Amino acid sequence: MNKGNSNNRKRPAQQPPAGPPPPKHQTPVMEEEDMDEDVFIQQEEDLVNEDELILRDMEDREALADRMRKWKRPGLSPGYLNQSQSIVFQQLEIDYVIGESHKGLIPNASGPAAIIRIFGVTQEGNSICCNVHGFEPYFFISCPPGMGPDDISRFHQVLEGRMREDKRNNSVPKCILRVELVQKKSIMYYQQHSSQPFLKIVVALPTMVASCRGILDKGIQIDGIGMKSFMTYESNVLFVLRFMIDCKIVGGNWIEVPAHKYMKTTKNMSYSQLEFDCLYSELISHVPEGEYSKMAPFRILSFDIECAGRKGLFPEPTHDPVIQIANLVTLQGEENPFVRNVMTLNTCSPIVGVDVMSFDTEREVLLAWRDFIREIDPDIIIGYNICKFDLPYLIQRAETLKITEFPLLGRIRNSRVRVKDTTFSSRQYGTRESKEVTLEGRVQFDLLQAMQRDYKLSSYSLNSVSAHFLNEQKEDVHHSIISDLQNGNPETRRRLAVYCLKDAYLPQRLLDKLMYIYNYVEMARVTGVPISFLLSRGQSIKVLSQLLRKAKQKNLVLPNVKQQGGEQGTYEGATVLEARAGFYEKPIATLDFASLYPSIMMAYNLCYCTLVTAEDARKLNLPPECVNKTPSGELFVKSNLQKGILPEILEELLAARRRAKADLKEAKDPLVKAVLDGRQLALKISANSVYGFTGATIGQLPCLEISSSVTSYGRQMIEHTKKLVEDKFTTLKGYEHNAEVIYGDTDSVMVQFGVPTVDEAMKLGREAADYISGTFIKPIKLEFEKVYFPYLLISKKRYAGLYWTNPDKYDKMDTKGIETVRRDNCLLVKNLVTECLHRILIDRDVPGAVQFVKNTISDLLMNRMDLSLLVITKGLTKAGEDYENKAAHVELAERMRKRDAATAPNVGDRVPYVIIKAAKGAKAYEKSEDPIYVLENNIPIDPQYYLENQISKPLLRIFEPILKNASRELLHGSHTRAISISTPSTGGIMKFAKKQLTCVGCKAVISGKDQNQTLCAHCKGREAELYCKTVANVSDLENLFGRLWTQCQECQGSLHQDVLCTSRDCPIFYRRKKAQKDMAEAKVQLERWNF
Amino acid sequence: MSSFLDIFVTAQGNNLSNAFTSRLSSHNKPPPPLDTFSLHCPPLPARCFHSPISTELPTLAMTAMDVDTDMIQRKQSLYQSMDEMFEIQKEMYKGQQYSQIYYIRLHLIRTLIYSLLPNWKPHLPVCTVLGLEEGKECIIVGTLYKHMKLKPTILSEYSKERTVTPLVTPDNFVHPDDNLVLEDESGRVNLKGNILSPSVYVTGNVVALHGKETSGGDFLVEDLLEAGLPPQSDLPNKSGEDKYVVLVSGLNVGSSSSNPLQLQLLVDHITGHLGDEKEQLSAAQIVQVVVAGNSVQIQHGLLNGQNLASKDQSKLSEPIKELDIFLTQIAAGIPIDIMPGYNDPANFALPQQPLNRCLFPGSAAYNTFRSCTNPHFFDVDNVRFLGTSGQNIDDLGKYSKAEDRLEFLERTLRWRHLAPTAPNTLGCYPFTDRDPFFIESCPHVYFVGNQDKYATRILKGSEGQVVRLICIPKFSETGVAVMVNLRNLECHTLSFGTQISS
Repeated sequence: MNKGNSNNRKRPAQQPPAGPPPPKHQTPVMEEEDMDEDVFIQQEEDLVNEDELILRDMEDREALADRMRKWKRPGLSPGYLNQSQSIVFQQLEIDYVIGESHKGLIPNASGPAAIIRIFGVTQEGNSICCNVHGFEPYFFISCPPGMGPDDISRFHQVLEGRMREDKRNNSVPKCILRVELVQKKSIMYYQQHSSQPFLKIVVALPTMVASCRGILDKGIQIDGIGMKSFMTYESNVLFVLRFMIDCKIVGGNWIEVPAHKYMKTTKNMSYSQLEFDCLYSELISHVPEGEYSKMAPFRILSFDIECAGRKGLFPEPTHDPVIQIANLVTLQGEENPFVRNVMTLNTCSPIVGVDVMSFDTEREVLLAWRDFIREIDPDIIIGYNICKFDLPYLIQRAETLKITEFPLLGRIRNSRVRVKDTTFSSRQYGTRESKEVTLEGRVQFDLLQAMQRDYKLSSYSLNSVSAHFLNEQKEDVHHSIISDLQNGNPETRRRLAVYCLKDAYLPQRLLDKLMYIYNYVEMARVTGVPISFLLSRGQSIKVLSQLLRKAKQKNLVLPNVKQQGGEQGTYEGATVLEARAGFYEKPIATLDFASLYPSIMMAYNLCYCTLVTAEDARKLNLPPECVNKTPSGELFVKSNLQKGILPEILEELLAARRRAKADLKEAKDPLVKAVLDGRQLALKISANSVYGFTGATIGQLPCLEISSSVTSYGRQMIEHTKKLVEDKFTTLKGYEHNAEVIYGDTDSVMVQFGVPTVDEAMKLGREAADYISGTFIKPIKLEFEKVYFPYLLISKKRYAGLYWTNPDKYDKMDTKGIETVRRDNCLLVKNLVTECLHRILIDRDVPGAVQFVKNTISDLLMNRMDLSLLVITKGLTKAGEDYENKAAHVELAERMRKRDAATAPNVGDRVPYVIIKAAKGAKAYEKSEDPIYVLENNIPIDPQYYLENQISKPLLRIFEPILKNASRELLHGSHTRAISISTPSTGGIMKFAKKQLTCVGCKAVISGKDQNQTLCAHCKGREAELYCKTVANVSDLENLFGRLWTQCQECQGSLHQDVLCTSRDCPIFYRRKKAQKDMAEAKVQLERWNF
Repeated sequence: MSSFLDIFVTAQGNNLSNAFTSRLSSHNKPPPPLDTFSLHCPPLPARCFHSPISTELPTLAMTAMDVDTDMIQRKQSLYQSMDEMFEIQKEMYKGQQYSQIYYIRLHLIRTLIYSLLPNWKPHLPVCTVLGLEEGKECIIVGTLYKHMKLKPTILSEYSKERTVTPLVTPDNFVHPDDNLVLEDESGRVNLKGNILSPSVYVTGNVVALHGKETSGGDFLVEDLLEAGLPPQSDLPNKSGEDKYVVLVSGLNVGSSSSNPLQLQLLVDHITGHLGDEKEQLSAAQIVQVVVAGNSVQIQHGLLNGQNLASKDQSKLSEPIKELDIFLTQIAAGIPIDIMPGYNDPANFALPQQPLNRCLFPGSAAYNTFRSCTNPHFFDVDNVRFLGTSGQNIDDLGKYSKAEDRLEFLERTLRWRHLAPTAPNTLGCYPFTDRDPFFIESCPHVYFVGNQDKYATRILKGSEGQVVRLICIPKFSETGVAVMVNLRNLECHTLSFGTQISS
């Protein structure tokens, strides 16, 4: 589909869902909801039917099948078949299913049990499905004091009885398999004793953990003890994660199943080449280091679909057919795709290097795609907005067409793809609605989601994302044209197919360019969660996974703290030192705390298990030298009494990062480098997210005592640094100047040492960093990194400066908080601000910058501004009537609909507009107009609006620290006095206007006998000069015209076909249109000289 | 610059101003205005001169009016302009794009190439790009497209933020990683193989390729066929007398490099006011002068659309007035063609339209003055001339490589196309019904203006074509004009040196 608009198909982040949300999502900020969901293996007869159906279909499409068979995976080595070879594979996806216990592996088991399925790929490229048996779900409760073995067995019976009350649990002979007495310790609070008795409750099925927890939370009646409710421990851990933790498996690592320890399945449940059963205890999980840090050759499928929408409506699966599906398959680590094809409805001319498969019916297209997926057997499916659009659309379309055999796209034979709506919300990423499409055994990676998660961009359309990262503009075909192309001939359909292929290709390019596979696999390895969690869940599951792993080593258990919706504890955040706004023309040294929050946690041993409650503090009578009292008043024991788990996790993460960085320096091979760089980045992000985990009030295990202590230490350190710098670096202490701290943010302090050169500032910066670091507890360290020179400090979190890391040459211009990328600003603002900063900071030419602003404002007022610079764009997120207030873009969309419903923007599209001159007193929302319409009809824009509402604020922000009377100087000078307005060619008074020729030179009306003259009598004799001006204008326009239109030909990749693209995101779209129009007008002017 | 003039005036002031007035007085009868677009210029009346002997120059003014036996007759020639193919009159910008011009070009040259195929490789089938089958040897004909890593794009100008270090603009954008693609109406295919060198070809060439599709979907080129030199009419009878056409370019009047003395010397020489009788006799053999572009340099900064102060107004028109004076001097004696160039007050896109006559109130009064298009196509005594002011060759120089400039000229002839890089990197009008740059018949003289240095050679075609290729240097920098002998296409230079300091 038309990816130019794809970002709009989703509601913008951070907005509450429009309609009434389903009740279960009503909790305000929910980190995430982790619930196991049991999937039962379906009945045998289904399976047979399914296979027969497929066979029949295959016969029909023999030729197609042959074509696809070419791409089969390499054959299996015989060593696997006779089980004499150990299987080593990289796992990508782990899930579980409920099935009969495996009699061969566990002889005495009975009834249904959870079978864990690990999907992966071997080094040879064989796909693997490993069914792991014998792993049982469990959780802990603290054992009430005085419970003996008899009490435990009675407790077991009561619990079993209560579980039986729920009919759903009747399918299993026993719900509670065992209750064991174990010695554990809770992670919460500092405890002097080494362990306590806990009960480990082992249940039959993973979902029973939750229902059992519910029963225990409410309380149960136990003979001899009475009604009692229990605090549960680790009852909120997903079954798969539990399995991974217990087997020491981390996301995307290599697993080995030794020879003879596995049994090949007799009846394959999956389409994997090799499916086998084994016991969980036989698995060998390899630490992802050395040899096992490599990547298996997975198959990555990138695809895109096109739908033929009806005029003026966005395509809906219930009405609009899927007309094309383009696919590219790439082997991980290889540069070029080895399969390129496109499936089209109706004939399509061939495309070089691409397998074009044409079909007569939509049914055939869909089924061909299903067969293709099955043959190619991709491990990872990528695309742009596939999770919210392409996949659900295909499935719903198949439903509409009643193609029941279509949604068998996963790796499991008889399992249909399920679609459900999900809401993902997290503090960090905001609330997002999404659709979850389960494709068992295949990892989905939606580049749009990844982009929104990892980058702050002004637009997330595929076009602008690829322009940003790949420096490539993408042709954008408006969805109203797609149907026309489809209904044309094989050539126009080919045109569409080329476009569709490009949309399938760009996500793959992005994936490669941004090294997503490496980065995400490394992140999964570092944090220990499956790869699929990384995109679909927030940060906290990653920290939880690490915490659980560490806790297990230490024999600690994590309580399941009841989530307290709504009651949000707050604490004081980071500190920001008062910013002394100004333009600093002396070097400003920046002292940064390296990984401040992790360092604080390590330095002060802040952890769940080192926290001393106020009550305990009194009771335990701890010696003061063994505890730290944090500035926020909490007590934590020092590491000599109890080493914290969080500090240990952090130490490991940071040590691993240091190692990765050191290796990175050594590494030569670009692939190895990519892996290492991905790793060090993952480690850094993970370390920083630990603090957030403790502060997530509705998270898995919030502990505000820790997070508030961290920030309080942080504040103290910033203050401390400021004080030390300003005390030490003074003329009294023998320095040349008094140092001055001009600004400080969360983890950095900006110091003006008063020295004139970057070199000297660097020396002093380094000295200060060393000196101050010495006063902190290790590993808190103040580092000197960079010097800003010159530095324009506007206010807190807003500054710009030249960034120097070596004294000879600046690295770049660094800006923060200066809104140059905001979407609802026109391009003019961005250009103006960037250019001014450039002139001020790099050219050191403040008068030049002022002059530039004046010229720009004059151009604006004189109607010489390029229209594309004035276009403002806003997303139309809901229909007009749903908006409470009238908004410019909504009103415009309505007006455009009245003009032409086919090309008017729909909900989900972005609406570009300019503000035009209107009657006095017109509301701002009435003044919006379509830029194309403005161009075509010479409608005058409203320069005052742009001056006041767009450019004045950002400009004043920059210039106020530099100029006195900035506002008067810039916005009200003599350059604002001349204005010129274009004459509209339609509407209103123009109907009564009469056109008259004017002199080219002086605009005097030429009348009477001179009718056919170009110049008035007065201007005769100036021909040469005036002609030069006219012809120079034509010449400039011709130049522009040529360059713009050939650029578009280049983008569309064809010389012999007309350009169709209507990408309004493209920086030259309006210019191209305007050049065409201006050219025609200028030619007419030039004609007048041919007398 | 003005100091040059001063020095010059003190040295030879008298002589020159006399010569100047004498010439004007002898020919100051304004001829009837001539329609510049008329195709056939009538044979020119012979202009007559006295034999000015340099030492006796002062007497010239007195003897100007009396015609006596000493007269040297300027030779005559037959001139025919064929510029109408480059004229854009009724055509307007109506939203047309560039696809048509590529389409027409492909069609024109492909038809030509098809006719050559039976003599080239008759056994091979001809395919379209879409009809390619893996491994099957065949011939495909299409437009080349060159992917260029270094090619500057307008997009990067707009979309990238201003970089800290300004981009250097190299004068050649060829990179070893460039690769060629062949396109016809049906599609594109990547070209592989060592036969086809990407540094030679440019986007817009139409060629036939022999080869086969590889398993990777590329086309492995084994051989290549270009359209080749166009057919040529016979060179007129060689026994005739010597007649010369003077080619000059890059006068750049008004620029800092322009030297008025040098230019005046040129004018005086060809009008026969310089040197002894022998020299005048040779000057009398000049039958046509062609000014191939960049005659004036106007300060572009003055043309930004704002109203000009009167000082700037005159700054703008001063160089044009100066040029008009020079042109008038020539036009009074010899037919002169002036072509617009990159710097001239003309439109930008090729074909550049004739400079407007209102710029030259003086010279435009003569029917010997013709304002022509660029490219310019004309016959003098049935010797066929084709030339440009240099943009087509300069652009090839940016986007491809050759041993020397003449090779570019040779290539454009062999490609049958004057400006293959238009419209891709060279501005051109979006024609919808023709490609005026297609070379239908082979010229005898093919010249380009505004080159760094003078170069020439004879190109011989397989069907007996003989073409004189000429690079005309910039006069303002070299002081060199080129003389072509119509009798035998021989070529020599006229150099004008002015050493003032010595």
